[in-house]
Amino acid sequence: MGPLDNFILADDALQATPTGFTLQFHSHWYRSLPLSCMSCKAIINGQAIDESEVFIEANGNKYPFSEMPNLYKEWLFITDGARLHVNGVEPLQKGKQYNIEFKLDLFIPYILVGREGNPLLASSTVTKQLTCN
Amino acid sequence: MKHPNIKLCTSLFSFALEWNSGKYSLEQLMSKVRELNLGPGIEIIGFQSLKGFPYLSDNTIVDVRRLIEQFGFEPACLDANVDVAIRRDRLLTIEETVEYIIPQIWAANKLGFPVLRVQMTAKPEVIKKLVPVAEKANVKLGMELHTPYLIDHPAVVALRELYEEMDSPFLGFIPDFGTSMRQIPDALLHSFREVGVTDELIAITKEIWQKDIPTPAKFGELQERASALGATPPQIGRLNMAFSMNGRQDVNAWKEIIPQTVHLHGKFYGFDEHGDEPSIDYAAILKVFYEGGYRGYVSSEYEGTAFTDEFTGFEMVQKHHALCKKILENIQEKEYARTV
Repeated sequence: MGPLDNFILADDALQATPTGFTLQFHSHWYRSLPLSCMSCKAIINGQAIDESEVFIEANGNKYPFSEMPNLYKEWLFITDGARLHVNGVEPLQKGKQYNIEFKLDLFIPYILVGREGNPLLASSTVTKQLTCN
Repeated sequence: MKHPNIKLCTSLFSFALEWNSGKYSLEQLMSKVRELNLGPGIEIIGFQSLKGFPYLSDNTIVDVRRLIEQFGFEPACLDANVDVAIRRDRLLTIEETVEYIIPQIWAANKLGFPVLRVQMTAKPEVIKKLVPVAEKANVKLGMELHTPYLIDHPAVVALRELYEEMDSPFLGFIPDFGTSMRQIPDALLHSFREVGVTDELIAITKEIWQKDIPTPAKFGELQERASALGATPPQIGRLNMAFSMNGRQDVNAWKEIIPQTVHLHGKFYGFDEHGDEPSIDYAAILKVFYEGGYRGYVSSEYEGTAFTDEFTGFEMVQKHHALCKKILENIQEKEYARTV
């Protein structure tokens, strides 16, 4: 979308866990939004993630990924990251590089567009080689 | 004696790149703005700069007030957001929207801001219900008139009728200069090239933008002509931004609402080699507001970060302040010469 996309995935965004991995992301808007105004999709080494095995964490609170549209009270401050917890996959190897394609959709809640008056969709996709920590 | 002039101000919106990088605390950001002498006014967007906004702890309130005082800023405007689509299943009701804005009014009161920016997603019914709160909190509600909300837009006309009916000094407007542009910013046009848009398509977009036809007709003409040249739907989608982001309202149209203007958003995108903003006629706009009797702040609001990271927000706001200062001093000198 624009230069703020550069902050979506930091170099240390990918971390191995005993049950899979976590991926931290930041929003590419200029202000904080709640999780209800976000949706995302991650592809690792060409493999899409099974969303039924994903949890989203913000402010230390963890929710099933499918709950995101309902989380209008869980705010992600603009300089804070949210973390996807991905389970049920082969754990990643620390020190190895992975290709991450990450799509972040933001539904801007104060800009209504079109005949239906839907929130403006601000979508960004970033692709990055990340070393797993 | 010279009359008072329009005052300069900086909106922290201008530093989206610096802020999102995580390299600055609020104190460091404000310190830098002070060091560069980009006051006296300061404008803060609640949901950008203040974690937990609008429910701020006493400590946060003390800290922010201390920073404003320590750096010698004048609190000009706090920006609320009217997030009516915060739920994904439905829009907030009128009552819910009122409840969403009330704590933001009190945040302005507690932080010492005399004006709270509100947005057109607050319908007149919402604004009407907020007037008693604004009066109690001693905070003016400034409706931002951002493109596509020209002063004759039906929604703006409805709001102006409400303002007339309520006749409250706590209701006002914040004109955004992006509503009165003279050309599409180059930075935006350059960003189109990155998605494969050709120079020919850009030329057509510029030509259609200049036409005196309603925006939907511009979308239609662009669709037809760009498709014929092989433009893809995503490319046409990006080109449509040129019509939706950049308004063409005559600068003189603002005259009607100057008495109700409580703050100004000096939107800008870039500068030419003479320090002028090629896409917005600052000399003409500031003259209209000065001669109309406006003496509040013009807040520097750099929006080029939406397309380019070639420049820092700091250098761009410095250039913007220099431009506004030059124009305002010139206007004042001429008026002074006329009256002596």
